[in-house]
Amino acid sequence: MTTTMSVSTIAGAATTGSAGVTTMTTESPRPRARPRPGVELRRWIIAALALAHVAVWRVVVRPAGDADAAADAARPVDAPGTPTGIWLDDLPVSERPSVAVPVGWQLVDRHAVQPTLAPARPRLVRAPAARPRRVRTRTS
Amino acid sequence: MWTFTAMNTEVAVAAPGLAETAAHALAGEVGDLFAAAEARFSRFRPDSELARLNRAGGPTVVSPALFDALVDARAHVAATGGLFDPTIGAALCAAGYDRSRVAGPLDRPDAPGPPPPVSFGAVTLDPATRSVARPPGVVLDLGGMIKGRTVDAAVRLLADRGADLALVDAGGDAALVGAGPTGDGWRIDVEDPAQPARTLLTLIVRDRAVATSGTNRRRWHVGGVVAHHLIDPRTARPSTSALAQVTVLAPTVEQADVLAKAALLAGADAGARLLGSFPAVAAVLVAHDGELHRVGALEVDHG
Repeated sequence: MTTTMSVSTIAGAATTGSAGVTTMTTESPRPRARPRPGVELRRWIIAALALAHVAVWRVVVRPAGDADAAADAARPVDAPGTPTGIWLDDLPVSERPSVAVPVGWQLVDRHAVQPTLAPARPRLVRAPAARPRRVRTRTS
Repeated sequence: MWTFTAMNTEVAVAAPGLAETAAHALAGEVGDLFAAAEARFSRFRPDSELARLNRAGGPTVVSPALFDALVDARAHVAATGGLFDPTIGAALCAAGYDRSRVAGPLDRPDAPGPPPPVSFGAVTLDPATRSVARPPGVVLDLGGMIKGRTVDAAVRLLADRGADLALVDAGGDAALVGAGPTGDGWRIDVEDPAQPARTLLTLIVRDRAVATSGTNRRRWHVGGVVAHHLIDPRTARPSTSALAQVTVLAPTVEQADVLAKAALLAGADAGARLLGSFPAVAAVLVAHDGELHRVGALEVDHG
């Protein structure tokens, strides 16, 4: 059995032939051409831009994608044969299980309106009285 | 003068001493104040902070604005001997006042009986944690003071902006700053509760607040019986006072509002005594039979 071995300093690859012969190739290393200063600078700029792009992608784009993925994961999946999720307030009152919540917590209607953070300004109307001086009592 | 609608009433704002553009901008800021107060304190809006507190099952940390209002409410309860009491919310609902009148008529064939009387003393206010704890079933209603409190806040805002002559009138809960546009005082026409178009008398005021309580406006029918919004905390039922209307002049609208309600519930004699115990307060009390009582120093316009 003859075995030919060669070594690649670039790929370091070894293959085994169907006949059980392992072939390794040796290439003599080529002397690396010394880059010119302008090319070196360009490489540094490209590397810096690439790094910046990756950083921005990780910080800005990725979290939103992760959140979407998490939301997708949290959604009930209607797979055949698996129980479908149901909201407590979709059940008739008589069929709702009793749910214990910690002190200070409360069960709320999922259809409840969310708190208004910035109420709308009422619409102003100019009243005709230019110099008002009277008030009429009214029951409050 | 500018008007807008808030808290189910028309609010008028005037600052006669300011330029038109400045007065307009100020009226807008006053509108913001009312919108914010309504969003926080309304009993009818499910998203209001007060409504969420009323749904809470245990001690609840609230905003400084709500906590301060409740602390002041406690002082009003003490000052009126319990005739003003914000724990009447459940009784108001039982009497049929369970939604804003804007939402539709309150008339109905029947209503549940009144809940057991409760008092604000059962509500715990913890300033260390700014938390509020109410016994189960207690529904807080600050409708008896928030409109006046908001008018007072509006007047402070106007004063900060240099308006030394101003009027803020929220459906009869009004603050009158300065001596009026002509310098001889603001005029307050006291309505006749039996004939609202008629004026009983006209008062002249300077730097005063006014509020009126009565049973002739917010009325509805439950099973054919007239009900109204002035709940007597002692019985948890609509008041059966002999007084039809009380108009109070006081340093602040909030105080005038609270005292007007308390005096009406107390009746003519006890109400007059209560009002007379406050040195800076004057009032006009009108009984159902038309009898008129005056308390304190009132300047009447005979012209």
